[in-house]
Amino acid sequence: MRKTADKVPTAWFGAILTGLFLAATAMFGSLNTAAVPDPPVAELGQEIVTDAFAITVHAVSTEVTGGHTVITMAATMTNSEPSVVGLTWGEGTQREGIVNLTDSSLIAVQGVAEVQYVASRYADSAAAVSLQPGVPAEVLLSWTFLPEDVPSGELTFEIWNGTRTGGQWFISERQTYEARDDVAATLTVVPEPTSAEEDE
Amino acid sequence: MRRTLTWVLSALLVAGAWLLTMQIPDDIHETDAFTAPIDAEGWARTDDLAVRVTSAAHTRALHTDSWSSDAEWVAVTVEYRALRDEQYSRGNIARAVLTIGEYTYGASTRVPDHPPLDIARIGATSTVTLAFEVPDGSVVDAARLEIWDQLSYPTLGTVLVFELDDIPVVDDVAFQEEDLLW
Repeated sequence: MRKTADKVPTAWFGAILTGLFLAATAMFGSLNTAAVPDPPVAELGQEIVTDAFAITVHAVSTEVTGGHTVITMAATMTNSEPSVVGLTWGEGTQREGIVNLTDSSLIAVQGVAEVQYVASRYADSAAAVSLQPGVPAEVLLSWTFLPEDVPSGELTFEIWNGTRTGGQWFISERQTYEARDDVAATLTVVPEPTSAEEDE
Repeated sequence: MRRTLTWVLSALLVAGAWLLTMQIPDDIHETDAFTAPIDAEGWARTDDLAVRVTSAAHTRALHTDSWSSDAEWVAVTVEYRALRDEQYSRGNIARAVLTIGEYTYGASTRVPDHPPLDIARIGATSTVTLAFEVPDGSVVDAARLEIWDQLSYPTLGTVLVFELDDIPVVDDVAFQEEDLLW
């Protein structure tokens, strides 16, 4: 019995197992980058739910003013986080859950250089907008671009999932912000030109 | 005997290191503020700011002379004064949040033309109402108000914490705009 066992080429076991492993992984694409499914496509009036907030975009308009193109989005937003979220950096004293960091805003115009939006409420014109947990807010988000940077025709917006992240800036300031995860949905619209643009 | 002693000492060192590790706060908590005690008159103090809550109400509507909201709010009126230095607004209220259950609300910025906060004065007490917008149908039996002064937030400092119980429900609250902080 022992002699028979000694004849089993155990030294090959490692190579055989490695071969099986490589063959199995090759069946699933091996080391190729896994295909990322396209994010859902949303429409005007459809609620988009992300990890940080829900947003329903009602309208998008463009206006050429002062040599710039201003894209304005009218939307209803509701904070899904358990604590207050600041739509813009440094509004009032809120420095928590900021969703509008430079180069990583959770709401962005696709295909153009990232520009931070300016937020306001259209119900009472409050310039600073904080989203309180579970309280819907009617907001206007505005991006200002050079006209040549804005694609003509359709505009696509990316709405990102975010993760609340802590951090320290310089040596003293502390804030939390929503770091980008993945795109929760895209929204493609043909913006409505406003009267200012039509006059030109 | 000597070998046993070596093992015991080693185990104690490992246990001590583990206990020390447990006592070290996570990075995210290393700048957490200290909670200030409240004295018999209801005042809580940082080095620069003293605050006490004078009233709180859960209201179905909030209005000023030029603005109104039918949303639901918790309005908390506080008195405050500077303690040490009026320069650089050190004694000012820099941040106020209200926690109800598991949700934390920031003092609202919705009131139009909200005035800049009066600079806290040494020896003079100011009054201000903090307005927190809450979801419709909220049940607000109790809440925790947290206030930071300019030096305490967002840097390491002291937080003033007030536990608010038996908050009454009222139909409407009218404020003078100069009474509103945010």
